[in-house]
Amino acid sequence: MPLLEGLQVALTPFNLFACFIGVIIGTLTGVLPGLGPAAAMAMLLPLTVKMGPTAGLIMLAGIYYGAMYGGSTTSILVNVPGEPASVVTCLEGYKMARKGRAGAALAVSAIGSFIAGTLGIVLIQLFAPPLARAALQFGPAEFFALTIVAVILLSNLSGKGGLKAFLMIAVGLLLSTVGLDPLGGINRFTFNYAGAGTGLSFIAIAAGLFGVGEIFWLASRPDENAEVMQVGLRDLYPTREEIKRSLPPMLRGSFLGFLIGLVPGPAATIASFASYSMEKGLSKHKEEFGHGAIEGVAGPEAANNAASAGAMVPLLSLGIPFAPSIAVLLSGMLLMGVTPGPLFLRDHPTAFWGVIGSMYIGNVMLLVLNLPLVGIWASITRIPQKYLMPVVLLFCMVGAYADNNNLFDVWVMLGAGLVGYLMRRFDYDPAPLLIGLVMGPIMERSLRQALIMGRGDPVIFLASPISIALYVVALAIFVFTLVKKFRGKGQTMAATGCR
Amino acid sequence: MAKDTLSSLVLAGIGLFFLIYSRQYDWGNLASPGEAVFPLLLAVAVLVMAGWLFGHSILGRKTAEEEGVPTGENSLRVLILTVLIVGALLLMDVLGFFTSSFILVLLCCRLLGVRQWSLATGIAAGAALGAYLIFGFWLKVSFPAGLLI
Repeated sequence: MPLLEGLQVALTPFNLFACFIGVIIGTLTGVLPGLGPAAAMAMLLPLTVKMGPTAGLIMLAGIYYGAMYGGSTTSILVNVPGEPASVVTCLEGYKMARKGRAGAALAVSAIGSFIAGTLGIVLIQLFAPPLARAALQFGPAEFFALTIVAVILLSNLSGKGGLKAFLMIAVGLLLSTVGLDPLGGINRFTFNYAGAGTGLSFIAIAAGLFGVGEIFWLASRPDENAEVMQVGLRDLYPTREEIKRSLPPMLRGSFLGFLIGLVPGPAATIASFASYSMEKGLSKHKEEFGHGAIEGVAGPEAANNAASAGAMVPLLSLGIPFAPSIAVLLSGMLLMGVTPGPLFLRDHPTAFWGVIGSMYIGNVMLLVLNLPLVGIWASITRIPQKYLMPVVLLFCMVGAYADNNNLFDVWVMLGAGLVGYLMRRFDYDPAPLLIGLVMGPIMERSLRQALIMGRGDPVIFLASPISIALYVVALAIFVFTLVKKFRGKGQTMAATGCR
Repeated sequence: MAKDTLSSLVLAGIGLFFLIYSRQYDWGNLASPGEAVFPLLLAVAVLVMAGWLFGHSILGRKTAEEEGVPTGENSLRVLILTVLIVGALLLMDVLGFFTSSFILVLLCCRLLGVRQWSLATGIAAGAALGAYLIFGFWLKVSFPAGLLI
């Protein structure tokens, strides 16, 4: 049984330690507003690379799903979402806190996250291996079609307008061409500067866009002092009625979130909104929505965690990242000498099942950490940004430098930080740019290899049923987006009332 | 100038740069595409989309409040922070990575509103020491030592 072997791998003392540190850092990242999991993972990527593939990936995965757990704490206690997927938790969670039910909201959120995380892992086991086997049928033309679907879906789902998202993906793809050409080995766009020969460091750009950009953004804003709700350990027990009302939304949210996670884009955020809408529609207590309905916490929290698990499937089986944090994970895998994709399971079974096994253990750790230590997490939210951000800046610099032992990368990080800040001010989403940067080499290689294999005949792109099916999906999504846009059905997060 | 107008011009500039620069690389042919093909296609795509955004921002009807370039009251802090980071990077070869990082974090704390020098020094020293212990001592990453050591 591969999973049992995976659990054995995950339970070795060093891997257990890596998992523990990962979930702690992840929870911290989720609790601290501003710093997202992508920036935290990018900062610590050099550290995880030195730990070896299995322990390194376990730690990165721990940060990733730990952030999803931690994000809800600030939403409920401070009305400030720790990360975008927790925005919707503000709606009902903070209202519950104001009614004196903060502890119950936190407990339901943690239990929902645990159930969803565990169900998500079961579903990864079911989905990833068959998908990886199917992906063995994929040639360059099919991979190119898959990247086209990803680009169209990402532009549809980024939430800042389709054209701007398309532009950011294209700029990310363009930036990925700086450095060595993936097929011919020719240096491009480097001005013959040796430091740029390896291309623009992914870690430097991720740390710049999401870490330093956020620091600049916070520096430009007036200082805010948030009021934090007090929670005692005794308040953490939900009533029997609250548990009864929460369980069905948790299960529904888990399945819905996992399915949304399979699709490119900010899946966790979309999953939480979709689950909230569903619960609002299905609830027998509709009048409580907007005033602290527990279903509005249980469903979305389960959904965003399940979506995080779902987003691992395309990475593990196809080698294509559909979210910024997953893109950092992909970059980490490549740095560790592990090539994600259809052959990952065959070539690195220890790492694959070790990561899956560690997710089970990580979920238990998170439940244990999140509930009794809620007071500590809440007190961390009281630490003013002025103390934290300079430290984050230092670790971003160290992370960017340590990638290649190259000061040029720190300059790239600074440039990316300024661009990230300006993107926020000019209403652009940095996530599509980062994913474009990672997908660039995959897209270019598959495009050129397909043309070479087809001896210049473009018909090769439509030669297989898989490619045709993928292009039909891409076209359908594109048309659907246009129709939706003309009907004026946009969704906004601004209506949540979060700070 | 409106937000989208300005940003579309910048993006068009990026597209134009890659378009011109990629002309020096080999196009190849359809049976063996060269290294210029992918960036050139993308540069054209960026130019077309930036043009579309420009046209939309000129013809679109939005209020000045919705579209105007934001001018935050603390933009000066962003500028100073940038200058501090640039200064720290320039000093790294002389002072070494961790000394210049310590000074950067110290000044950054003060800039962001940490009033007591002692607290700012403590944060800067702790952060620089922590980063050194993890990356320099444990992981043996070779950082610029500076001329003073």
